[in-house]
Amino acid sequence: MTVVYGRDGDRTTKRSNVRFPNTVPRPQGEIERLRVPWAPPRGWRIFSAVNNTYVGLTYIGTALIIFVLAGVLAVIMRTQLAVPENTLVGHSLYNQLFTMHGTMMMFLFAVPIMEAFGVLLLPNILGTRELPFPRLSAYSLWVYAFGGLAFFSTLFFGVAPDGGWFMYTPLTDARFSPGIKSDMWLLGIGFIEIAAIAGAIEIMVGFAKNRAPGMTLDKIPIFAWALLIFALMIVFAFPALILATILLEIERAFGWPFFMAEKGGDPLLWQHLFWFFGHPEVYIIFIPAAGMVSMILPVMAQTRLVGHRLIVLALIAMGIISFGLWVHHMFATGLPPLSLGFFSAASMSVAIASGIQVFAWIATIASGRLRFTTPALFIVAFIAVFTMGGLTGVMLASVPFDLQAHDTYFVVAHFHYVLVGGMVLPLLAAVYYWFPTVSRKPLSERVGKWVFWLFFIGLNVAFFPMHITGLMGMPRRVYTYLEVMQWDLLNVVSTIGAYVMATAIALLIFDIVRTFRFSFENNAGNIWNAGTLEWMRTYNYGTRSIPEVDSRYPLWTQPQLSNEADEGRYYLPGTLTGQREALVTSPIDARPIYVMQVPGPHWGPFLAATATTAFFYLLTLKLILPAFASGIVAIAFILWWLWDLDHGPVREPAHVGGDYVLPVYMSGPVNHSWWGTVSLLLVAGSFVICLVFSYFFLWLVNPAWPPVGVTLPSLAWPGVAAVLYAASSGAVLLASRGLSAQIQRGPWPMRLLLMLASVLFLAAVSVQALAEGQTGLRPTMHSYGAMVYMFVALQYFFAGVLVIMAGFTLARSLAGKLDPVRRVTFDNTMLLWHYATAQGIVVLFILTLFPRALG
Amino acid sequence: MSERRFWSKAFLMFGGLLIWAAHFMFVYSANAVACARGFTHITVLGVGLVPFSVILATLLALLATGYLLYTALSWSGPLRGEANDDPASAFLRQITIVLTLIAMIAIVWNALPASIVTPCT
Repeated sequence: MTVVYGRDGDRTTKRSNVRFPNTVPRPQGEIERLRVPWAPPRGWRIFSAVNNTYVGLTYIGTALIIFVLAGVLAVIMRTQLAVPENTLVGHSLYNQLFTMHGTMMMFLFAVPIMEAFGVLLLPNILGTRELPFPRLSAYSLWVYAFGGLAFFSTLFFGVAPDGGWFMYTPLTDARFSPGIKSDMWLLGIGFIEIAAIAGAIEIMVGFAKNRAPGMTLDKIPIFAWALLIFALMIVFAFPALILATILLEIERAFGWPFFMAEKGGDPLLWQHLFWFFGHPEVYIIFIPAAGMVSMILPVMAQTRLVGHRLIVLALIAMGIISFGLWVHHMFATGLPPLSLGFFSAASMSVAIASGIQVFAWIATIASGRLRFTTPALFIVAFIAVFTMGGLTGVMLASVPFDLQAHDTYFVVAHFHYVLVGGMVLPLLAAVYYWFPTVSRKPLSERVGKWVFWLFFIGLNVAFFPMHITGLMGMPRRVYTYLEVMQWDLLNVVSTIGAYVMATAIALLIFDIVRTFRFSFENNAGNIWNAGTLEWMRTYNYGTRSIPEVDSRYPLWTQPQLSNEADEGRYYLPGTLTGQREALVTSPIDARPIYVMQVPGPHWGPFLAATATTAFFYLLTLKLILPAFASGIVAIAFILWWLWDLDHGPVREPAHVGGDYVLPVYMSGPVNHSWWGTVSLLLVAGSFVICLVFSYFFLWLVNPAWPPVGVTLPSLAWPGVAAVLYAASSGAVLLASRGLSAQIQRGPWPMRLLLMLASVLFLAAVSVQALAEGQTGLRPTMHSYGAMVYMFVALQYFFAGVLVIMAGFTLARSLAGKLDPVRRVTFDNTMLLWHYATAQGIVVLFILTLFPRALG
Repeated sequence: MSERRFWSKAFLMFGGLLIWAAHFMFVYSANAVACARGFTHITVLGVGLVPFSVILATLLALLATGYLLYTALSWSGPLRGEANDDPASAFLRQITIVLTLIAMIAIVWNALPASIVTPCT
């Protein structure tokens, strides 16, 4: 046996006399049986594929198409601004162009492409066959692809949104933006919200539950850490955006005055909600890009990443502190100076976390020998450009300077340095770096160097002059300017830079088209001599056996790992159930716990995404009934794909390798689906916290709460509602006991209790609604009424979800697919139920007691 | 490691920064409410209401983060019984300690504007 020496953090370990978990030769026919369930569908059925590799690649391809389309819009804008008083594009189209460019780049390119890389690479990086919810990934992809391309096509019909990527009210409310342009944005963004959250849940649970044995928390590659922080940030930041878009759409459609000042609303509420999402969004984009850098740089320098722990720490600190920065986009709105001071301080402190990473990268370069390959060039350029963008960020974090530079081209220069420098450059490095994992041939280094230099020069030529244009006073979002302003030279230089960047991207596309030969099994291989698991030999089922790792760079410390895994020496070299499977490991020390049955191809995700797209766009066109019909169809397709998921223990525990004899099914908190539900509850909780924040915010800006003339319902009403909520959760608890005792007492006690719980929950919400209604309060009267009914609507929404889930659980019971052991469906329903009850009672407390105490 | 232990560890790891977030939201909200409702003329122990509440919140936040730091340093409470030479536990411990220290610095840093900037005008 080869003796291999590896370093594990600061400790040196010696691998000698390794006893593999499984012996060779493997039984005949084992590999054939493994191959069958993992084979992706062929021909037109490929749209039902859910393999992470297919979904991930299609996702990346779609995001790159969107990137190019949004880039074309930028080039049109730059052409318009090249000379003063240009008439190429009128102001109306220009407004649509900058709105679409920003929206598409931020929402439809930057976030999805990071998720796409996550879906494609994360399973291999973590050494698992698949992420836990592949059908959810496929749904996320198709919702995004259909929604994104439909969103872009609004430009051709002259109905593209034109209120800027942050859609400030009152400009975007029904009075100042009549028609459907703003609705297109508000509902169009609904797609990306769904896709992003679906992807985030997949990534979080995958990170925690599906890792190669031995990949303890200290050995997880940085990109996986970055994706975890990215996903967590999506879970906590996107709900603010979801809430903001719902509130504005409701205000536009039904006149509930959340943002109308004359009815007790406040346009600043929109800004708070938008930027509570919008600032973390910048880090949502940057953090995975930084993770990519931390993966690529050590390989290019052929050395270990310096400060691995510090970088994990910096990512976590950035992820959380970035939630305390949102008001720095609102320095010019007239908030109290001390409030601005708090945000200014937080804005400066986040620079420290970014700085830690930059120094760690520089130290990594210094400790190795950097090969100036194309990915390395992009990374080095990233460090320089991002640092410059970061420095102008520190300048803008200073309130007096920000007041001068606000809404000028200086800000445009800053955020393009940060976003193009901080995200696009690492992304291009990533495209070059990981391309050989999916193609027979790598991208050309010669062409790559051209792409790099053109892009790098173009980027600086385009955006550096904008600092000066901004300081000379040129405002953002103007479609033309007068010659007398003397901005023409700087603008034409910026335009030339934009064309040079566009040339670089065109060259890259040319090289991709020329070189790309899709293959996993015969890919170009580990051409960079990388050390992480995604460079192992993989197939449709990932690696033949699940490797056991002993360091952060297993392919460096265990050079034969790929061959050994390929021979089937490690865990789970075949299939136990004849279906797709993956190992579930414990979250901290990555010890195998059970074998998870992974869902295979299904038409549900594709069809549900189609119906979801129809729902949103029909709603935009105010075709309410067809829209809701599409919504119901979408739900039906989702339930269809869920129907065959909770398999139950289809066989007895079996040997997977080493000392591990694992079950093929587990329910309760250890189950991956339970974790998915908890993740979804975090999303719901964030949404409600944002709604409660909005309620308190509107309380603060109104002199009387409730307004004069509005009476509060008597305390008896909310009391009854609270009792009904508690009773419904109690009924679910009893139903759970009934399910456990099903063998003795039969299934009907559980079924009846679940039905009773549904009725009680609906009754609780209805009592709440009646209580408010009988006082004469209406949602259109005042922001108070709008908020109260928004809470009621939220509970009705949850009631609807619970009724559907209860119905689904009952259907499974009637079909004999639910029993005391096979109960994941019931447990998930119960988890959501208790959450909805707790939420309902908290909301009752706030609506009942707060106006009495402080109104 | 059981699932319950994972959640307690994860909470401890993020705990310092979550306290920072709570402190941040409190001082920001306190100032907003004081300005909107005209409470800034009130003084407590000779100090304006806003700076007083910021000082109080900061001390409480430091106390809470200090407790977390003590817990992580001594592996007491929910972490008792972990082997210190296990690399995953050592990693978690180091990350928790340094993140909590960062949170303590960030809490003080964030409170500083209250000592030099007037609350409302």
